[in-house]
Amino acid sequence: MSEFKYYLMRRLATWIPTLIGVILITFIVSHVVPAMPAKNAFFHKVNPQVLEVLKKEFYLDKPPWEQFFLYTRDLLTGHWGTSMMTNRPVIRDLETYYPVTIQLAILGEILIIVQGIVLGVIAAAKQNTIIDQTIRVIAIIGYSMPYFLLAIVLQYIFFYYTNLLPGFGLGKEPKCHVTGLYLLDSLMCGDFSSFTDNLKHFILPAWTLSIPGMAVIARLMRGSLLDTLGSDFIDFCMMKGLPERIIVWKHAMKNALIPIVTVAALQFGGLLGGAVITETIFALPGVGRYSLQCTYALDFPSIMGVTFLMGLTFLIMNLIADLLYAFLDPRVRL
Amino acid sequence: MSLSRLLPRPLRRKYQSWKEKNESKLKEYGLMWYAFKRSPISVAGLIIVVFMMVFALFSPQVLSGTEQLMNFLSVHKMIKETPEFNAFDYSMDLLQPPSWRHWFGTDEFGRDMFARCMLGLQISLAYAVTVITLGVPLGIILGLVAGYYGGKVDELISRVTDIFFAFPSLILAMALAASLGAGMESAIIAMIVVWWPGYVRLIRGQVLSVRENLYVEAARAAGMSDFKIIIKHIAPNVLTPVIIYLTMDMAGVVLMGAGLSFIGLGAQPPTPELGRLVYDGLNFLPQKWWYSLIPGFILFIWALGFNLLGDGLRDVLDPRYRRRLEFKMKEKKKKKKVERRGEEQNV
Repeated sequence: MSEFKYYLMRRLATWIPTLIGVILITFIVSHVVPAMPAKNAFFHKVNPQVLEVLKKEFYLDKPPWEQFFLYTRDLLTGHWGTSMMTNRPVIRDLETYYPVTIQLAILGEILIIVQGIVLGVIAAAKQNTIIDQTIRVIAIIGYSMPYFLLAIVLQYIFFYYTNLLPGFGLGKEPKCHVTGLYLLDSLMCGDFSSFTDNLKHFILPAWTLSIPGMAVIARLMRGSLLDTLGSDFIDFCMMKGLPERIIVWKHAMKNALIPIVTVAALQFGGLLGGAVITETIFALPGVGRYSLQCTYALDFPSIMGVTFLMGLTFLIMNLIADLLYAFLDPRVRL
Repeated sequence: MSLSRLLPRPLRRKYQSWKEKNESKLKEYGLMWYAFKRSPISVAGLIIVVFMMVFALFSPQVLSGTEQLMNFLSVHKMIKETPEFNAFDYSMDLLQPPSWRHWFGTDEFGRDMFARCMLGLQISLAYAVTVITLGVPLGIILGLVAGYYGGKVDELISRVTDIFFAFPSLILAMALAASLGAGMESAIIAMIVVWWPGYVRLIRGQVLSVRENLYVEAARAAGMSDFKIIIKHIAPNVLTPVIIYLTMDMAGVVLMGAGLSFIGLGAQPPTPELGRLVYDGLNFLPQKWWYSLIPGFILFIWALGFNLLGDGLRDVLDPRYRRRLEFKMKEKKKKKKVERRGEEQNV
């Protein structure tokens, strides 16, 4: 286990500079790219006194490196500025909207992995047959699918026509509030009606989000499983006379799943980005819809808050995936 | 053969010698073309892409102006011509479903959706071409440098790309486009900034393996400069996956551009953009389905064409696949020969 600890240290040593880089990029985007945030935010006829106050708020009277330092300090201590749209601190806004998005993204991730692996294994088992070709075409269709088209089509089929699933908004509020995640809270107080209701509301958006990721994982899973089945240790297992079922499910799958971990984590970024579109269409009060409203209202502090929060989420997700990878594959640790 | 006969004699001789010199290359291209024709996926992709490009390039020239034309004007004309005409009796063509008159229906101002969609198609093609031609070379150059030189240069370039990879790409593009101010130019800049890091990673990985080949070492031993080695020996061996990724990224840029315009960061109205049309149509769902479904469907077909083509090219550009094809062709020829001989003997 000591080597795992060593790997953890090494990984953190590259993770922290990346985090600083993320802060630097949000800083550049918010402070350097627009020549003057105050001018951009308001119309050009601004009272000079107001301008002074704004300059102080964004530290524009200080040299750039000091601005960056102050900006970092503010970000880390939770002073993310005030939203111009809601007139509340950005971090309070995000606190209310973030749980919806994270539940949606995690559900989407689960759907990506399950659907992708199932399709990939089927394609590998029926290699070079019609089924394999069909899955290939399904995958290509999957990653050519714009989120909004899929969202609208699913909404039509399952909500407007058949009315099987709810098409808008969130489900019933659970009886107690512990974490803010409706699905988790309702389970914690045993409020199952709220749980199923919320799950039903999340199915369509999460499914929409999962389709492009599913396509990527299915292709990768097929290739990876075929690669593993062609390797020497599988031949050795066959020579030992193990039944095929055990070879595929116990020996080959374990090794074939390893590369999936990293790519599945990368798909999480697509989920967070796609949340902007799906949450708008399915009217979910999440960070994505909030950021869309902010963009239409030109509410810059909120946009930057969303960007940083999404970057941070994605960064943490990738760190977890890397650690999982090292845990599964001992070769990486060394 | 037949073509070379048309050439004048000195040119024909030159052509013959050139053909002899590049025989293996030409054979490879021939095999590629054969493999391409054999895969229905890539042929279908090519047909879709060509079809859509023709539409994107030519239909706005034909339709220009009509996308802004409101049928209100024609109503006005009718009122002038026929005094007893009542404007309220006339439907004014607002939000009409698809028909012969308006192939894709009309929007809430009575503008023809077909004309607007075709203009949007052209804008999305412009997005794809500009982002790919400006963003990809940057990524390729940085990837070549990082992979070839290694060491500190590599470390620096890789860390910077890592930072760009730390953001979900649509979110970063959104923030950048918002800070540059909504408009087509800022959307393009934002997408370029998001696009180059992928190529750095791709090329760097390829270069790391190609660099170890004996011929690179031989070139270095012969005193070739680094620049020449990269251009002559490394780049050609690295570019195959780039062609595949490039084709598929055309689809990626089209979809991301649509996402940005959906968020309201692309070209501003009244310029039509496919993503924006979908967003505008959301207000009229579920009754006026054509408003947002048709632009969305066009985007899907557009992206599908590029993805099919790219996926098909993956097979075509794979040398192992070509060897297998060559082997199969030889087998077939042998079989035919044997059959013929058998027939001759029977006769």
